[in-house]
Amino acid sequence: MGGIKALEKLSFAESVPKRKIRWKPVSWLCLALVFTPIIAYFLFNGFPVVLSFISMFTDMQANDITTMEWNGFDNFRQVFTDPKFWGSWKSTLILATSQIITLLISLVIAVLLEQKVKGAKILQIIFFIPYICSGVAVAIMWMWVFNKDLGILNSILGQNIDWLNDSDRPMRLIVCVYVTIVWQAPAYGIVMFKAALKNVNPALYEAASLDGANAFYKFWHVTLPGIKSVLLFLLLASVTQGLAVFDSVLVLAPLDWTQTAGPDNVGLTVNYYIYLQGVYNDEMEYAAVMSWFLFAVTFLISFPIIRARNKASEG
Amino acid sequence: MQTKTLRILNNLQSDELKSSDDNFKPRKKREPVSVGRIATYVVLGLYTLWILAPFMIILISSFTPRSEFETATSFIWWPKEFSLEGYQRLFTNKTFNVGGIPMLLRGFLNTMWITLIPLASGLLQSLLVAYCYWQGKFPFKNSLFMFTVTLMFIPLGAFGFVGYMFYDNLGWTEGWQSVLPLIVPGLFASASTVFFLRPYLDGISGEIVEAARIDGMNFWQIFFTIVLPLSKPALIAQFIFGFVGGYNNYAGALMYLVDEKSLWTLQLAVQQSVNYMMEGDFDYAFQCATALLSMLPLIIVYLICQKFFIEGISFGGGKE
Repeated sequence: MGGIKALEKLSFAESVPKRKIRWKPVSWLCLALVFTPIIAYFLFNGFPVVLSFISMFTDMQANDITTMEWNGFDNFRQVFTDPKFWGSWKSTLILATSQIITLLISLVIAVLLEQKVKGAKILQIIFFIPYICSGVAVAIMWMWVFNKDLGILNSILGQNIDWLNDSDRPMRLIVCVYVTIVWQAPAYGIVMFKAALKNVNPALYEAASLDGANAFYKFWHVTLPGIKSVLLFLLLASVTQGLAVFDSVLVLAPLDWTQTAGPDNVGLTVNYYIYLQGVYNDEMEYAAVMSWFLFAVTFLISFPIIRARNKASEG
Repeated sequence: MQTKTLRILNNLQSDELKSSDDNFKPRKKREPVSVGRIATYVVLGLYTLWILAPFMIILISSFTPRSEFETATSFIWWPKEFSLEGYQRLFTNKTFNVGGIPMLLRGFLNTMWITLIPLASGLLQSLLVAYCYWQGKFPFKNSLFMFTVTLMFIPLGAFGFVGYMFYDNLGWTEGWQSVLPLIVPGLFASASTVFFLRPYLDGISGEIVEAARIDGMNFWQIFFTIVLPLSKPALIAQFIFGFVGGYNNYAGALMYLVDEKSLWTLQLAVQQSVNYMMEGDFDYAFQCATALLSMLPLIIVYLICQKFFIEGISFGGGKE
């Protein structure tokens, strides 16, 4: 505060300001400006979500809200007895497990990069490239790797496996999508883990070394607690991401004329089905039920992680 | 005139430089070559190969002429002669052409304006709101901020597609209006960006604004000449997040723009042309060239400014 007073004296000495400018009128401007993100949120996020909530209990013609007719829980009954819906959950949950592998890979690579490796900087630059590549382009890239006749994988294996469209073995398509995710997703985690590892106090490692601790003990008792908050953050992000697979399946399992995504519909993830029903077929009341269900599941899985994070930040 | 302000500004900036220098690294003795060290290098080497291999594969295939694909029975590791056919078809094919402009180029240009307009406007407004929270005096300041932050934490990821019904009823899904759902919501300040920018501004000493006010600068002058330049690092971090997201946005473009060929974004153009190719004759060089060329601009920008990318990403996440 003393500094400000000194400055004030100085400015009087230079006799520049004749009028002291008060921000009284401006603070009302501030109050108005501060409301813009809140209003924008309610208009473009809140309102559509509320609309979708209402639509769940109605029947509409081509997503036109003026044709809404109350029909109770018909949409719920339809969705929850739809085998395609449960099939889409099966595919999505299998694909979501790739997030655990992703976290493990990013942690291992980040720890290795921190071992005073020569060229670690260049390696980090390379490892981050997948993050900036689009899901579409990456899927196209892997589609070519998995190509049946001329793909590199079949050439190396010396076989002629139809990875993307074998109706006897539909799970092969899931393998391809899985690989696509595991190739791309760790890029973000590596950078985040590396930044977190840098912040672990080196004195703790030295203390552990003096106590004769081995590498595993150091990792478990020094590194892991140090990166706990980033780990929980990444875990939280990966739940949302893992359940939201969309771009890659649209490329690897494009819809055919019967609206089937891949052999036996295994490429149909939850988000893919929501898109198909709500946007492609104009049946948003149906898609809304699926969206709210997805929201509920995401929330239920995230909840314990959020609680662990709050606990970690308190103590 | 405004020299004092500038002086403080300079001091602030040089302080920043100094403090960034003294992040010391852990002291470690040079370890002898051990099995563990060799294993480290092997694993990192293999991982590098795993990341780069797909790029190498499509690079080679994009230069392989069609005639060689037609007679091949397995993957072509090295074409007998390199040809630019795949790239040529990208630019000359009549199907991938809207109004005389090759689709990929058109998609790129569309992506640019559809991404940059809302991003610039949204960032500027978010900074303005953060500046209001930082310096403004108004009632319910803290409760309003808490409320904004709470909104941000509601995970709306599951509702990515339900917005379609809202915009459909507004008439924003047909004709040129179909671009509006991708632009209009982004024009305004966003809760998450405000949440990110405010602690950054809080870290800057308020003295400088005080001094500028005494110098006779008004609200807007202070915003544009002091707050904006000072928050450059935080803005760059947010810009990179937004730009990468916008450049790679596929779901949004697919929802709203798929019927408007002249508005197709890059990702939509890439996916649609490759899918089209799959239905007709298989043109692998074209497919690989499309994927490669669509990624190239962002990869080049990344390699030039990689420091900003990696710092921006870890900066943004570290706060969280």
